[in-house]
Amino acid sequence: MNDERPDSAEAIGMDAERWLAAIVESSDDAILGESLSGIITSWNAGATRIFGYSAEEAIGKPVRWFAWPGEEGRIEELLKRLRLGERVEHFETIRRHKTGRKVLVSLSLSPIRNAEGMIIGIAKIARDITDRKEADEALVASERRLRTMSGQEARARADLIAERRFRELIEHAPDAILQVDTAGKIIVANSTAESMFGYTREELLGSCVDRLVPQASRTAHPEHRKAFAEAGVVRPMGEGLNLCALRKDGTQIPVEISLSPITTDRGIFITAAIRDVTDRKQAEAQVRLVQQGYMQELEDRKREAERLNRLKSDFLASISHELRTPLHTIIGFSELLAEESAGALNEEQKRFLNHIQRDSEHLLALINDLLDFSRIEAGGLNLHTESLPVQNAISEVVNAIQPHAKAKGISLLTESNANVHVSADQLRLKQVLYNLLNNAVKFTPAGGTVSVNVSPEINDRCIRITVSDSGIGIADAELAHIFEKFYQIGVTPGGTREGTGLGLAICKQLIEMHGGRIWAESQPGHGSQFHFTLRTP
Amino acid sequence: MTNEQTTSKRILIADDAASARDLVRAILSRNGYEIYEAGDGEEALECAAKFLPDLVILDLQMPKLDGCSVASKLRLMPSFEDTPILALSAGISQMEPAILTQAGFSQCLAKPISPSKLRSIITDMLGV
Repeated sequence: MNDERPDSAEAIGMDAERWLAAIVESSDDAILGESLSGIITSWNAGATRIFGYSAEEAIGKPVRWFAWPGEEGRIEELLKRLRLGERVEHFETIRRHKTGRKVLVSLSLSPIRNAEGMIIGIAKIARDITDRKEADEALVASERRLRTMSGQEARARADLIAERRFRELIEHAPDAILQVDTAGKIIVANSTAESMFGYTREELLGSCVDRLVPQASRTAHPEHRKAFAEAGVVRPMGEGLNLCALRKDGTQIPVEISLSPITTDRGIFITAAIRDVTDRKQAEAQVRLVQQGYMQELEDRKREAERLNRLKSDFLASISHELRTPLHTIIGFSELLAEESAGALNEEQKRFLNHIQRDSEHLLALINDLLDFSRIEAGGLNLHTESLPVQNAISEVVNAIQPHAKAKGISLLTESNANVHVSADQLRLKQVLYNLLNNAVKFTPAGGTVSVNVSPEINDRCIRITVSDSGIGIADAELAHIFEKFYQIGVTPGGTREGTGLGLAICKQLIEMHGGRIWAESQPGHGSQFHFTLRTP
Repeated sequence: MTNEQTTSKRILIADDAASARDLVRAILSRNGYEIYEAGDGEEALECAAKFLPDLVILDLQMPKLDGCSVASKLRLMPSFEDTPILALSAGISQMEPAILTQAGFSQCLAKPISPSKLRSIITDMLGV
């Protein structure tokens, strides 16, 4: 840089000065000389070209004069730095052209020193970068635009992808999807719709959706469409109805349809998802068939059970007659013999007869028990319930048992319960009492006691009757089973196993038919108490 | 002593079992009744019309015509409007008393009958 000093120019000769001047003049850039206070001292052709002012107009003016409003402050800043001996390069600022337009410049400044090295002025080169700046800005702008465009494009592409995915979803949905405009024309149809209805997409699009409705419902369909569009709620169509769709080949398939409205600028369109429910309907029909089958079987079984019951009852009725007939004459003639109507009997004959009579009675009791039990089981027994004075039944049965008890030396005790009434079948009450008293006497050894007591039950709606004995008692283990059918306890004191094991079972049946309870308590070796309850009238 | 008093009362017994008829005959013979027998319902009606018994005993279960039907038919015949008719039932009152009364029976006795009971009930029914 020291080559630009006047010393070296002198060394070369005056041609060097003119050479330098020519270089300065021919430069495209503006080459200016400034004083330290910022006054323009020299102005080249390049400066004229860039700023529009001639040398005469410019020289002597302060640089400030050329500054664009707002940039003046920077000039002072520059001058300060240069006075300190700094070089400034690529300083970008804005100047004013003579025509008033902006000129963007890039400045390079350096201090001019004399031979002693003192700064005496400023050399400035200004390059017009307006175009470049504009180009830069244009580039930035276009880059920005490009970026924006890419963003938009990217979004557009994303939208496109989303749309395509959505379209694929609809296209391959398991249900047929149709979209219909306000006139009922199909504007969207997926491939499932093609296979479901048997039309190609081209045939579907643009055609009226009513064509897919079976004849019977077709006339009403447009109205339904209109009504739905107006109501505008997403819902399944025709809930509970059996909907059918009409295929191209004329066959009908059962369907389920869901509808949703879409508001567009061309009115409310309706989207329909249609499901072929042939399989489901068939399955339902199957189930119904099976159900019907079961119901039928149930009916048949019930009827069969009833038939068998009737057969049983008829059988019992006839058997009853058959069994009792011979016994009737056996007992009758035995008694006639015992009366000695046909002649006197010796002791041995009397003894023989006694056996016959006892066992005939026993047989009769067995048959009666068996038939009673069977009848109750078959539900063929009817109770004739009435309001009874309990005392009467008790007295009657006690009287009947009395001879038997007396023979064993057993005392039969009762209280007087004149005013106590129960709601019961007289015959059956006596049957129960007879059974219990008979057992009591049977299982009580000679000299014992059997008593019948009546007491009101705690809740006062029942009467409790108790048959107690001082007999051999019943073991706890047996106590749980004695009311079961065919259950027989050990042996009687007499050493025989009498009875059918049905007596107590029948008592239980009869008492329960009256709505009462029957149970037993016992103290082995001391006695037993049989209780049963009956309702008060 | 009128002839009527010395004439025995006539009793008709209808039962399909011969031994049962025999039993009734055996039971009632000591009272000097005249016993007529019938083996079924139809025979009972024929017998009744022919012999005009003073009392009729009918087993309830008989072939051809059962006891109730015979009783009803007898009641329709002028000769038997007031005749005492006894029913012999096979078991523990299978028949509701009301039904028996409606059929025309005056009394009912359950089998197996005790001879003494039969005798006393017949005596009652004949008003002797």
